[in-house]
Order: sequence, then C-alpha cells, then structure tokens
Amino acid sequence: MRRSLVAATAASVLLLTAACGGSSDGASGSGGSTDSLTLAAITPPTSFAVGEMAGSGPEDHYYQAVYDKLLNLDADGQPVPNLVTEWSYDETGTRLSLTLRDDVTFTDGATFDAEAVKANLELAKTKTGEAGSALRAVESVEVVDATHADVVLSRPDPSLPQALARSSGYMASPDALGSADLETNPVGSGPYVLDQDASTPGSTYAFTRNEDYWNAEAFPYDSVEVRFLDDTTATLNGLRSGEIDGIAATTSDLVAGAEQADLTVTTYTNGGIEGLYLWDRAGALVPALADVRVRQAINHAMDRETIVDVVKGGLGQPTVQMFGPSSPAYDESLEGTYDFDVEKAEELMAEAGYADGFTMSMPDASPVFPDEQAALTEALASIDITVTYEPITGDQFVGSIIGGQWPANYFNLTAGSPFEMIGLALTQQSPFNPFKTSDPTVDELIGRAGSSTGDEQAAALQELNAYLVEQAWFAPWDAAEAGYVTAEGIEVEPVQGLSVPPLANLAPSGS
Amino acid sequence: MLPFLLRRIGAGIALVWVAATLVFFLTTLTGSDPARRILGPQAGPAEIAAKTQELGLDRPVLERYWDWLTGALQGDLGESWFTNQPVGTLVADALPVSLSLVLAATVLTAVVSIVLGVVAAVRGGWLDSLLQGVSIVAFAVPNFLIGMVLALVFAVELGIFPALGYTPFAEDPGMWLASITLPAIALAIGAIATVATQTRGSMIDVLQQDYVRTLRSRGLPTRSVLLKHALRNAAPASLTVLSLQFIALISGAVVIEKVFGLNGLGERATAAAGQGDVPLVLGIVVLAVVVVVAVNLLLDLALGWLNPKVRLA
Repeated sequence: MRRSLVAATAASVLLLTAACGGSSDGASGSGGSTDSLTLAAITPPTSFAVGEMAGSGPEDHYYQAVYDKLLNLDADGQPVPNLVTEWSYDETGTRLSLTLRDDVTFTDGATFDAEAVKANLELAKTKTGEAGSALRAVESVEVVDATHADVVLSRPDPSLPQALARSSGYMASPDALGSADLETNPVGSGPYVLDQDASTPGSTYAFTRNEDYWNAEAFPYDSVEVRFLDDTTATLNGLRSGEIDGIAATTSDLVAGAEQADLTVTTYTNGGIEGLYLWDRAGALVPALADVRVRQAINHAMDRETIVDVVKGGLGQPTVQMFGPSSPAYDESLEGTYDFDVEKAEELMAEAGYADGFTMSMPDASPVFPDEQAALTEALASIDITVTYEPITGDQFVGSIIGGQWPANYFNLTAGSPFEMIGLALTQQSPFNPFKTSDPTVDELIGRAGSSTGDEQAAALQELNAYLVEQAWFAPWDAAEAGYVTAEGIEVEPVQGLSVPPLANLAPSGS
Repeated sequence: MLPFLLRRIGAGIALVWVAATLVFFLTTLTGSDPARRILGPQAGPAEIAAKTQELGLDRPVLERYWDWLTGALQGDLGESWFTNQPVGTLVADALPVSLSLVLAATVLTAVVSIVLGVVAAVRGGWLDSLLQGVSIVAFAVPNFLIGMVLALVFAVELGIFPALGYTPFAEDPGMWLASITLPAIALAIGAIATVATQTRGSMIDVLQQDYVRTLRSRGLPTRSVLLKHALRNAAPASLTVLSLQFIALISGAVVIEKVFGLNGLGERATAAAGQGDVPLVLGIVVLAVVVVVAVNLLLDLALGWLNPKVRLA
C-alpha cells in the first residue's frame, strides 16, 4: 500500500514537472525584445464596426491594432498627420479640407482614398457612440479627387481635427462597411491584422503584422495580443510574471498595487474632469442652487487636495476648472478662486439665506464610488447641506442625469477638446445641461470661440472658462489622471487627455 | 434500471426548464434599460426606441419568453446584446475552460481525498489528527485566497506555472495542464478537506463492521479487505459528498477564474450579469443547470451500480 502511494506521488510530481517545462516558454514576457507585446484591457471589445467601437476608453488597444486613424495625437494631445497629411478650415470655419496619403491600402485590397473617407465619416456620423456624437456638425463629405476630401459642416466646429484623431477617425475598408461581419471581423489598414484562429472572442485577441503596412517602423512589435482581464490581482500577477506587458489602469487599486510591486506607472491626464456637477443652476428642483453664492460656497467646501490624495490615491490634478491643464482654455491663475475655506463657505451660505443649510437628493454612487461619495457627503455636510441618496442601477445612472432627475451629483465627464466639453455640457442642446441653463455671456463667448482661430480663439475660451468658474456652474475636484502600468523592459509615452496611449507609443525600454 | 433512468432524466429536464424560466422572469423585473446601456449616454429618444424595438423589448414579456423558449429548444440561444455574437458560441468558447478547471479539481479531490481518508482511517494516530487539523484549516480558508498565494509563489516568484490565461488542450497538452494546475489546486483544497473527512469517517465505520473482522479472520490480505470490500462499502457516502462538491466547485470556479484571468463561464457570467446582457446570462444559466443535472444523473447511476437498493428509491 505504502509503496504504491509513493509511486503515485512520484508519478504526479513527474507529470507536473513535465507540464512546467512547457509553461516556462509561455510565461516569459517580452522584456526588451520586439517579438511580441501582450496588453490587457478591462473590457472586451464591443464591436469592430465603424461608429460602434466604444470611445477612446480601455477598449482602444483592440481597435488601434487593426485600424488607422485619419490623424494622430502628439504627446500634448494636439493633432498631427497620419492618413491625413494636411488639413485646413476655410475662412467661415464650416469646410475642413483634407489631403490624404496615396500609398495606403486596406487589408482586403481596397484603396484608401477620398471615397473611403466619405463612406466612413458619413456612416460614423449616423451612429450614437462617441464617434458619431463628435461628428454631429458634419453635413457631408465632398470628394475633390482621390487624395483630397472636404468635410462640410453645418456650423463651425473647431474640435473636428481632435475627433478625427480619436474614435471618429478610424477608417475601415469601404467594401466592408455596413456588413454585419465587420462587427467581429475588422478590415482596416492598421499596423496589424486580427488572427481569428489564435483569438478567443470575448477573451483574447491576437494580432499579427500587416505585411503591407505603410508605416511599419513606427510599430516595433511583430505581434500583439490584447487580453480581457478585469481582476486587479490577476492583472498584477500577470504584470509581475511578465505575461502582461502593459495596461491602462483605471482604478487607484491597480496603480497602488503596481507601485508596491515596483512596476513602472506612467501617469497622465486622461481628459476627464471629476467632481460635483451642479446641474440645477436654475433652481428647478433645489431653489438654493439658483443662487450663485450657494454654488460658490459648495466650491469653497471642497478640500480638493485631500480628496485627490486620499480618495484618488494621488491620481489627479486638483482644479476648479472644467477644462484640463493641457487645454487652451485652461488658466492657471484661476486655481486660487476657491481655496478650501469652510468659514468663507458658511458666510456665503448665510448671505444667501441658507445659514441652516438645505436638503437635496442625489443618485447613490456608493456601489461603484464609495470613497468619492463619502468625501462628497462630508464636504456638503460641513456647510449643512444634507444629501439623501437614492438607489439606482448602473445602466440608469447616466440616463437619469440627462433626464434631469438630480439637482447635482458626483460625475466624471471626459472631453478631448474644449469644444467637445462645450458640446457636452455648456449649450442648451447639450446632453449634460439637463436643465437647459442658458446665459447670454456663455452663449456669446461660445460663439466667439467657435468663429475665431488661434490666439483669439484661445482668449475667448479662457474668458468662457473664467466666467464659468466665477459663476460656479460646476464644483470640479480634479483633472482626472490615469496611470499606464508597464512591466519590465517596456516603455510608454502617454498622450495628455487621451485615456489609452496609442500602440505606436509602446516600445522596448531604451529603444 | 430503465424506469429509474427515465424518471431521473424527466426530472432533470423539468429542472432545466424551471431554472431558465425563473431566471428569464427575474431579469425582466430589474427595470434596467438595455437600449440606453448599449447606445451610450448621448443617444436620443428615437435611437433608444429603435434599439428597444430591434431587441424586441417592446413586445409583451410572455411573447418574448415563448420566442426564447422555442429558440432554445432548437438550439438557438440568441445573440449577446453587447457583443452581437451568438450566445451559443460565447458559451461554447468558455465551457472548455470551466469544465477543464472543475473536472481537474474534481479528479484531484477524488484521488487525494480518498487516499488521505483511507490512510487516516487505517493508520490513525498522529497522522489522523494531523489530517483532521489540516482539514479544518483548509475548509475555513477561502479558495480565492489560496489561489492568490499559489499564484504569487508558484507563478510570480518561482515562475513555474503561468499566472494567468488558459491554453486549450488541443493546442498544447502540457501548457493546458500547466494553465489549470494552480487554479485546480486552489479550487480543490476545500473540497479535498470535506471529502477526505467524510471518507475517513465512513471507512472507520465500515472497518468496525463484523464482516470486515470475518474477512480478516479468514486470512484475506489487508489490501483486498481495504480496497475491495471496505472501500466499496464506504464509497457511496463519499461519492454523494463528492458530487455535491462538484456542484460547489462550479460556483467556486467563478472566483478562481477571476484570480487566474481564465475567461471561463464564471467570468462570462459575472460580466454578462454586470452589463445586463440577458441572453448571455440565460445561456450560461441553462448550460450550468444542464451540467449540474447531468452530474447528478451520473451520480445516481453510479450509486445504483454500487448499491442496487437505490434503484428502487
């Protein structure tokens, strides 16, 4: 009996050792070599179809591999040439002329030309995601010749080049557009092609080099794998064992864990502005919010430095502005406007006739953002504003805000450019202006910024920004930051204002 | 045997139907808005209405239920609302991952716990006390914690096993075994503790029976007494516990799959439930219930084979 036990144990040990022998090859990371790059993303791709790809979020790595964008972004988040080599507006700002590369083909053999641009943009603008919304001002695309196209706008939209460097600018083969197959089987002109046989839908996506790619030297890796991983522990283990080379960290847990494990964390602003959004400036639900002194008091009650340090784990730049530090609308000198000062806040509340505070209801964000909600509750309680939190499911959250259900709530709105932020939150048509607040000064400044260029435009945007801060339309906490975690041997150059760095910005260390 | 089998299969089919129906109606009670969720915050009311119609959510619940049921009976579980892929494919991709993990954990549990249980029962003494002490600890420590420690030690520090991911058997059998070894051990430890304790108990009971003493007095070799007679009579109790553990392992796999980044059914189920992807949730529920029913059926057959009295029950 005992002998057979020993034999069985020995056999299992041998079996395991044999198995491990196989595993050591697979577990080796890329560390410095350019053979392969394995990235992780916290969501699987929803669709590879034009206009349906989720915005510039965690899914972006899947799309970056197979599609080229019309424009790229440099490290400061400014548009630079890619498929489009030159671009310019006419004097009315309603016609954007594009000059295209003439040496690009899609992987199905179709040629990239002005017709392809027209087909892609005109399809994307009919869709509802980020790609479509950013093209709302596009009326049509006119083909001038094979390498020239004009985008005709219904109103001036200075943010269009930004949009073309984000999800609106992805170009799929015109022959594949509109087919249901494109949702799962991308046909682009990007640096890599999806290897369906080596991929498992919803789990791992393997990409191999597009042999005919026009800009291959910008992409050092011969193959790229992007795998869906939504568990912090698994992700950290993968990074430490070298099975994962990089991930855009969206949680402070992952960043903290990565720092503890001595992994490299590169931080950058991701375009989000996080804080308390004061929607009900007209006082429809909570009359007190119509008083600018109350809104200013709320701003003074926020201890932004501590919130960023404690709640966000240092990931964020404290700000009172709705435009991030890399935006032309940003004005450093505004940062002192609302220092943390509860006494001042109480005075303002008393002046407004709310010395005893008031009560308002907000959606309960604690299941997802417990620390943020606790910080918010504490700040408002310090000036006797009592919040009653009402339960809500995740999928109803945004809809309820747009529907005007809440006077204010914790939120994080991401915009690639000041004009996108304006479109999202500052006009009467904006989805995130649920009570349709209008102010002649705001409208005038938006109009001035939209119809001017260069310094004049920047001046108008800064004036708009200063006015919004003074009027306390919002009570932002910080320009949100993301951290890109990389394993040993990998370097990343982030793009300010973009949540996931482009694939071309990942390279072996020291290269 | 045949009426027994038919009765069990009939009950199994009824169970699958009841579970699927319950889940279907529960998902209609959540009051969530899938169209809004799919289209994003900036979609207008007209687009939401169009998507709602496309998903068929504007139709009466009973009509949707009937469509889903008739589709499912013909093997069509619909499409995922979020990734537009057939639910059948998504589930079929994930099934081998979970099944590999759970079967490996079950085999590990069966082998290790029976060996440990028999050894503890036969030898007694300090070995027995040790086994009981370790069992209590193994039973009490949550399996994800064991998984995290295993991953940290054997994958991250020592680099012997991969820390995450699954390699299909057909691609590389060695890598397949390596990819499920740590998760299977993490998953099995609690079950081993339970089944080993059960096996030890029933072995001790059986070894005290008169017929064992008779067999021994007739000079049968110890090995034959233990393995041929005692273990066979102690087995039904262990087998019942093992089958219950198998079902517990399926749910335990949800957490273990997360720790090891295995995109199995558990991972899919949590993601689908979080998104409100009803067709995918239903597909996974149906599959999970089918597996549980099948295992119970196999167990009934095994018990019937081991003990003819059961067939009459």
